[in-house]
Amino acid sequence: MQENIRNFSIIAHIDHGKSTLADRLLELTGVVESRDMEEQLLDNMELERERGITIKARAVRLNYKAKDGKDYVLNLIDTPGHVDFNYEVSRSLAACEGALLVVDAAQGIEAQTLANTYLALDHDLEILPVINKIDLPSARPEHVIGEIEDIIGIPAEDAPRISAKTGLNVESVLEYVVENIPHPTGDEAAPTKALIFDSYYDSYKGVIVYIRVVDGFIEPGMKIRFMATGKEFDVVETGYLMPSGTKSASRISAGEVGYIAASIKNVQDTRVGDTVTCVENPAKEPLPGYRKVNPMVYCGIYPADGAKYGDLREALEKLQLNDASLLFEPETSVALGFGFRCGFLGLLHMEIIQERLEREFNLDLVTTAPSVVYMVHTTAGEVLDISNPTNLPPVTETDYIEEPIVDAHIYVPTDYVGSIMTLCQERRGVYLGMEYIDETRADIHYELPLNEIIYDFFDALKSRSRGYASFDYELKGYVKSSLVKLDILLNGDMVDALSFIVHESGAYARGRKIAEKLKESIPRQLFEIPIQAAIGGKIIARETVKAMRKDVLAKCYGGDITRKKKLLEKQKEGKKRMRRVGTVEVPQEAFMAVLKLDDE
Amino acid sequence: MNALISDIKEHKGTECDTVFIGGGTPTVLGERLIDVINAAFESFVLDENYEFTVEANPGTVDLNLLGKMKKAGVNRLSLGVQSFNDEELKELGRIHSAKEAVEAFYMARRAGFDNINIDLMLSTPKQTLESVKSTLDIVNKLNPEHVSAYSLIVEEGTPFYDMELDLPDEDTEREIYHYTVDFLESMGLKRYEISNFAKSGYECRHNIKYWTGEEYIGLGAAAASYVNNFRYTNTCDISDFTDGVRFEEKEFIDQEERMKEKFLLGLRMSRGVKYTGEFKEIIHKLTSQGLLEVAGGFAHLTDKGFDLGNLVFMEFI
Repeated sequence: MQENIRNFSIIAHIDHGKSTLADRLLELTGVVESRDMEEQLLDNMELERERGITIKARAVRLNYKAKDGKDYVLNLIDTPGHVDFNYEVSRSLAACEGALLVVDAAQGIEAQTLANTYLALDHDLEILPVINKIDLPSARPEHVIGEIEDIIGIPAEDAPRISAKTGLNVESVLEYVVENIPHPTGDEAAPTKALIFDSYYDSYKGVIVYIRVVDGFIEPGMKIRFMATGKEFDVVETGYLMPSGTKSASRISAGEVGYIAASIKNVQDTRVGDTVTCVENPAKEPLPGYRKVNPMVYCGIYPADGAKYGDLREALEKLQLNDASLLFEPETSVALGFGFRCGFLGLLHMEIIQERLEREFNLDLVTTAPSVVYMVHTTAGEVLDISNPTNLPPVTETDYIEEPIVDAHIYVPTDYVGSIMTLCQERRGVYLGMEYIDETRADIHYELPLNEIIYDFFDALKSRSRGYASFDYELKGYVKSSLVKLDILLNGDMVDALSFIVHESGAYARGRKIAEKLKESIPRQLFEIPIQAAIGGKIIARETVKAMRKDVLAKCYGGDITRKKKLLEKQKEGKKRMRRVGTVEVPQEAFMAVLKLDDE
Repeated sequence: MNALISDIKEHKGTECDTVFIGGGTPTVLGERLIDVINAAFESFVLDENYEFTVEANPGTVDLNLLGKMKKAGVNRLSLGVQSFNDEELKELGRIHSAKEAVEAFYMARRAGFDNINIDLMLSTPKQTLESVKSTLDIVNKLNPEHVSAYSLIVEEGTPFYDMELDLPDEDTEREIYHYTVDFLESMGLKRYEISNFAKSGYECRHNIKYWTGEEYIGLGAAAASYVNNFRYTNTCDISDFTDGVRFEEKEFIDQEERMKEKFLLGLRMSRGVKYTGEFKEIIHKLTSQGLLEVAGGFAHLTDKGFDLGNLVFMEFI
């Protein structure tokens, strides 16, 4: 029956129409009436709100009767669309035989188009280009087809030209999938091998694991083993991932995509990329490609109101149920009290988590400057992984420090090549080369230190290219570097939450700028407050917040008392939201101020 | 007007010893203001030693009206002068000139007022220490019994807030305020509240009631009353008011809140509040910060406290 199965992904640059096309395919295969669709999406969101977790169909099974009269099963496996989730994307792709490459007919190939295509090619996927948004007045489908053929080197002449938005020509995409994507060719009689490509936590059934069975089969009652973690479970339920939700099935066989539930309590046991096998008749080798994902970016997250520490812990635990790549451990800061040091796959991942904590859990947060992981070689010959500047050993005990570097591609209209190169030079980039994609666009290739792009690089990139630049990077390795710890002192006291590690060459400028920013964001107080930036014991910059001279309501009479009390209440609230660091009251924004320093 | 007069009549028999007609420019009513004054005298049972104040805008008074007010029984006049500098007055959008303000003051004297307040505004757009000095020199010549000097505070939601105003900076502002305090004190006008100065015996008894937690009744749109531990605020919508709408807000001031207000409001006055050991921690913190002083059974603001009063008041919110 594998002849009638097609497993495929949709890959695209952000905003090129991936989700819209997926919605149209669902509609066309009749599983969702278009008028029900809105309702169903809303239902899902409601559920998300209730449980505080994301339940997102990362895979869906579509039934399609093709023009040849046969019934096909199409498994559409979604991929997260960002570089931070590169590994997850690669596992989703590994579960497929082919991929639809959606390209915007007006914008053409962008950074993520290529990055995702290369990933798909790595997995020997059949890549089928689809030209979307041909309804736009600025659409240039023929030009974009030429681009795909020239740059990626795959034939694109037969690519469907569609508009997912209006529905134009979308049905041809389904035929295109059936005709061109190879069917799976697993061995149902062989020992079970199934690839985990996602999982989520369900409060009734435990962890629901999304799998693609490669060989053999899985059915309820079977004892299974996760080959990387070594954990064993009894399968309680198996089934398919229908657009309307899970639908139990008696068995999932080679070539099929589905889910298993096995009373798994901890999402950490079900690692994306791991291989599921049968304990009785285990596979000799796991499927290739598994690796443990390590966070690249760390930051301290603290509740703005110290009393909310417990709430923050609970929220992080809930998020971790569905996100095995989120790491956190308790940490204490002199300035910020009790909080957590959290590790993320990248900047976007960090932003998503922060936003979800604030929006879904209603928490008011103070976050410290993000840090990468430095490898510190001590004079005693030890190698320490340091992700919190506070833990950096003293200079006298440090032999040398290595920092992570990335391989970055920036796609930008040729007009902005100069300013983007200047930006990369400022960020200690090493120029590796440049290619012209066509006469108007270039691919600039740089090696960049990761710690230079985790603050505001993306914002700077956008502002210096009027939003046109797109950017993609992957970790390349570690190099030896002259790094120093920059400390900030308020009224003579060091504020640990404001310390960070920076390259020697930029330390003075950065120190001065931070002192200036802090001066702007710290309000005048009863006494004069010196703000100092220091490296080691040496002060490199100083600013002063002058003492407050006046803060008094001039008028307060009978008709006014209620209103004046409200004003004072508001002022008091504002004061409460500030953090007391030694003798100084510091507003939350001040901790963020150090993050945004690029004013050009 | 009719709504206000009928409200006054509804309080027939109310005993009181101070009346204050103000908030805006009552003198713009002209002769009709006399009707309001008469209604008050007819309705309220006034103490023989009463204080009856009317606010007046120098641009809207003449000798005739002032004479009638005096005759009707008004014995204290508050003149909204703001400044004796024409440029500053223009910046504030005032309709009167410095010259008119001086004339209005002399007219009030001629009409028989021997208890006059001059309202001044400090730190207004374009104001400098020099211009304040010349305004104060004129105040000195006029020799009023009372001066109110308010530092302009631009609050969110007022039209000034969104304007780019040429305001004195914080340091200049304080210099102006301190100069004003010293100058008025040397004239014999003692600072008895953050923004109020008076010759001995001429402190505004009416306003002191607000700061000492005594009861009062406010009549008219947007007016507030404090009766039986409730603070009421009338609607500020004039057409609602004439349609008979009254209280828009009602706040119960319980025992604890009354204690806090005793400090929150009472500390505005130089003499401070009688202190018998309440709010020990707060008082200790404020005295150690140099904002407050406890002496002779009274807690009162220090000079620094007068500059940073909100840090003190906030503690009693």
